[in-house]
Amino acid sequence: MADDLSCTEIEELLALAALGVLPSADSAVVGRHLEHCAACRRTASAFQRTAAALPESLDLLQPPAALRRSLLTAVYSTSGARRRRPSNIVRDAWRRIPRARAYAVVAVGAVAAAVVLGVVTATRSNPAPAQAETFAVIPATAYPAASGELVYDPATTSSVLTVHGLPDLASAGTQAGRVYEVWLIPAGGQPVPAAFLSPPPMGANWTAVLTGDVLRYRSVAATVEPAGGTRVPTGAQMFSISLAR
Amino acid sequence: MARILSVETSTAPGPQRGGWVDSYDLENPDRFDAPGGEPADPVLVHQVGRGSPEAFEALYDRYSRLAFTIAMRVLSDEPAAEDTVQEAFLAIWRRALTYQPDRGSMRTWICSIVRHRAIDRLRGEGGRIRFELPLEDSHDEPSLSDTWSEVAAELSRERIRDALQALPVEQRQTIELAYWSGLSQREIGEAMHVPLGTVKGRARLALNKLRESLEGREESWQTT
Repeated sequence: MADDLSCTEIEELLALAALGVLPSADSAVVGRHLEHCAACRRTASAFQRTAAALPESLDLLQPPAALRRSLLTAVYSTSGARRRRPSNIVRDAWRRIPRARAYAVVAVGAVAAAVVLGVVTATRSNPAPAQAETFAVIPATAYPAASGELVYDPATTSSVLTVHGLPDLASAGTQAGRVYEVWLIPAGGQPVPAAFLSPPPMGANWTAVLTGDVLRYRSVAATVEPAGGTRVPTGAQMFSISLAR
Repeated sequence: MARILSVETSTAPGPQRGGWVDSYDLENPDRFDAPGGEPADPVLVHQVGRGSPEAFEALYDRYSRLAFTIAMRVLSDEPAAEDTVQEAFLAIWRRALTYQPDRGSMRTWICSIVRHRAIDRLRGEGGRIRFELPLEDSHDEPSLSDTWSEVAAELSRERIRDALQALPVEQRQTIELAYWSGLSQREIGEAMHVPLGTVKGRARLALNKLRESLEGREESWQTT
């Protein structure tokens, strides 16, 4: 488009920009015009303010409480903050690892039990030990009920992953006979198969123990795969865990 | 000049909505000028940028209703709206330091992030594009508690709705299709069976008329 546009024509483009639909091909000519036209700069600012008022016409809706819990769990987990946590966050974290299920994890291995019980005790009465790090499960869009955490113990270079809210594969129709395979994903590399989630001996927590330094990886994810697993992910992703610190 | 409590009147750090603060000082974050001693938005986002989950929690509590409302307005689907809000706030958590106060208010920044993500999701789901004008539907939701800030916001809400309703229907539709459905200029023209020039003209007239209504000025306007 030629640069010899009138201010009225530029105003039309500024209106499209304020509404968020200015074609990218027109942005340069608008920018050049605004460099030397103070009146149009004032119009641009006024249009932006006017468009910004549009959401204010809506009656506010209350988002679900579960959204707040999920989001704050993820944020507090990745922040490493331990000084103070909202009481609802602590209560919800405790509910996800009740004593009965914590003892069920002990059956998986002595190392797993020591990590989980240590984290649970610290969460309830004291700030978590400096060494243990917790990372939250972020559910995939198609499986919003998935939640849980991965707790890494650098002292033993191992992690315990606990997840609940996943469908029971034994009774999931076409998914019967499949497994949840856990992957370690390096930065810029192929996912590495790491473990399978063990079905819950009691309750609804799936668990896996990952040996090795998971912090060398960018993230963890889980997919549904055929029995025995695969060498590369082929199935739907159930959740991911960011290991960014 | 009428004072609109809900619209940022300056793009520079300064007067905040609701008359909370006239200035802020990042070096003295304990200087709270808002009612109840709550930190102003620039202070809060600065703390979020420094990795404070408590500040993020306060930011979420301050803007989650608006964010969820915007997502629902675009998507009309609660699970999709929840995902969008979660993604948007996680992006804010990761990129709080990218916020530039001189380019707009925190409220506008958050609204923009949520709306764009919602539109991307809408457009990415096979073009579930709505052509109706559901603006009237927004009256069906119950109003919130009657704190002083909600009362003031309700007055502003009604004023903005009245201004939108005063627009000619074709101008209001143009805004609806562009702002809430994310249609391109060409797609709007096709939907409304008008040439591109008419779309641009209606957008300009609509925003000018809205601006005049919200600023309390009475001027004649044109229709196309």
